[in-house]
Amino acid sequence: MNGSGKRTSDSGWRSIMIDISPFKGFLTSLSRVSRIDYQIWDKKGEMVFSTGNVPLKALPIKELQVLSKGIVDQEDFQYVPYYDNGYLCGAPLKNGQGLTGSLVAFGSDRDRASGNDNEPDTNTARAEEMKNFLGYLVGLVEENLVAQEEIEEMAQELDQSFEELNLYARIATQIKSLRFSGTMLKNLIEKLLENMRADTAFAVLPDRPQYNVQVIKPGISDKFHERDRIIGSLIDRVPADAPSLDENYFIVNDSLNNPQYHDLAEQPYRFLTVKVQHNGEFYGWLGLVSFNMKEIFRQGELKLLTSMSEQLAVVIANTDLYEDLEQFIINMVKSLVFAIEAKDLYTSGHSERVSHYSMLIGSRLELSDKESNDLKWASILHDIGKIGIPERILNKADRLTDDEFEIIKGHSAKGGKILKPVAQLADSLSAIIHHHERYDGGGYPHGLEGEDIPLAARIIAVADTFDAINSTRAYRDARKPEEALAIIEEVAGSQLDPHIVKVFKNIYEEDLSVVGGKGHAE
Amino acid sequence: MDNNKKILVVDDEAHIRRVIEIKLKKRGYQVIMAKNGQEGFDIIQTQQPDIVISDINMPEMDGRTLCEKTNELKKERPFLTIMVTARILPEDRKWVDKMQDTLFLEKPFSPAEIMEHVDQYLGG
Repeated sequence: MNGSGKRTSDSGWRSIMIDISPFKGFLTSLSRVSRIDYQIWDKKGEMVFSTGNVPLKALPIKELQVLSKGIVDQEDFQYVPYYDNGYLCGAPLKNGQGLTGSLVAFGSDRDRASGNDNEPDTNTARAEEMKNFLGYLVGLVEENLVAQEEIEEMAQELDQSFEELNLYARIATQIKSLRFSGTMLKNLIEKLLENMRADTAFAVLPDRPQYNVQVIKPGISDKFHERDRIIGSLIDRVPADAPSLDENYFIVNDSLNNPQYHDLAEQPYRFLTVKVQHNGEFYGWLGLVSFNMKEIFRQGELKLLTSMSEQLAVVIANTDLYEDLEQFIINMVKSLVFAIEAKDLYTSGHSERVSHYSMLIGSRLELSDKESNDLKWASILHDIGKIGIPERILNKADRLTDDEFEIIKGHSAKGGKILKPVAQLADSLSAIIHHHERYDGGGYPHGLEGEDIPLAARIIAVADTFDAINSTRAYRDARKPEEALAIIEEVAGSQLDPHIVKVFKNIYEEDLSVVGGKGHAE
Repeated sequence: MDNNKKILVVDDEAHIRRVIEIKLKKRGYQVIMAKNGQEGFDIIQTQQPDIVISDINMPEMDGRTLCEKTNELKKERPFLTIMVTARILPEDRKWVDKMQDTLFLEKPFSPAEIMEHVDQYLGG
């Protein structure tokens, strides 16, 4: 289509809101064979395209302008004879949004046999012909336009989905953990702010206020009055009857137009918040604030925030369930331990105290989560092997015979045997079995020495010994904590790991209450 | 708008080509499309694009091979290659460091981000 047609204005198609480029070649070829010049005019009476069959200078521009306006005004086909066998005619052109301009034809039919050409009936017949012809042509163009618009729209939606998908992929990786934690929530909020076009992102969880988090872009915080309480105020003012809450979100597009919100900041802002909710259970709000009033919150951003909130709610719900279950198991185990301790008149509460001290030592030694968890179970269950020891031996006030002592010594190994079938406790067993080993190698059951004794077993040994001395026993009265501490310091290096004794002493000296009030027998 | 800048989009998925094409055309760039590395390679040799945007996993010739084969050509006539891949592995990073004027974007990619790189490279 080289050299065909003329573009009369640079980006003319913009003024008629359609892209006419696909028709230029077609109309130009048509104009060559039929000797008619075709033009496209916009609503305002500007010519945006001409096939150029007739030189621009030779076109009756004024008449054509009047005609094109008439077509737009009447929204109908118009025909005007033009002297010397000529004529002007045109039909309205529409796109998806409505009338957008006109398709105009200018013919100067010199080839037609002259004679009765100027008679009215000839013009009437030709008008009818041209009306039908332009009707077909316009139909063709319009059909194509609708398709063009649909493609454009689809491409834009596709583009938008690509952006959303990209955003989602970047943020979703933040919720890979199955358990809720403050760190996880903070990361999520930071990632949201990084990727969304907003100045502040926040999470408010009314039943877990310790996790509430707000991340503000630098230089933004001063824009809010009472910025410490701003997020709370934003949420407090969400009207309970807002219809959008049926879809779990609330939006303020411009704080200036909202009396509930306009006084919270010096400058106008927009605010979007979404309920964190799962299975009808409400956990809180996730939200964004922006001071950029040139933009609005997009549908995609709402969708993304909603999806994040749903996932967050699922994580919280799972964590609640998990913690419930964990607490249930802990309580079951404690009941079991109480049942065993009930056999021994003097050891009530001993296992729980040993567990308490052991965990304090463990956290001071910065054990990993896994090590700490194993220590928790081992310490509470360390005496479970006593289940098989007759009460008369446990409660005997006189000196034990050698045989009786051997039976008592069997409890640590027996504890290991009893719990062996419980796969989840596999890594706690060694601490239970070895909690009576001595640092100098003289303990039982295996006579392990020093660091060969598992760390958790060495920790429990210190806690166990301290509590035993600090409690009343069948064969003696309880000693005061200071005395108990002095005694374990004496055996540090022989019976107990000296480093752990030291750690425990530090804990005790920093906070005397760690051993007070724990209900040890006095 | 600079209509002289030519951008080649190589991807075996039509909808991805389409989205990038429309965005590039709106910015006034000339867009050429190829369905695989082989087609892309032929076009690079004959039409000398200013930027190549290519997927990694494709039939016929993959994006890595395309990138390696055209790396030599860049010495005479430099152009930017934007590789789009499902996942960027550490060995990919090492590999891309050896390639001239090549950068990696992870899928799902952001069309706007691609446009930023294009505009930046072409000084638009």
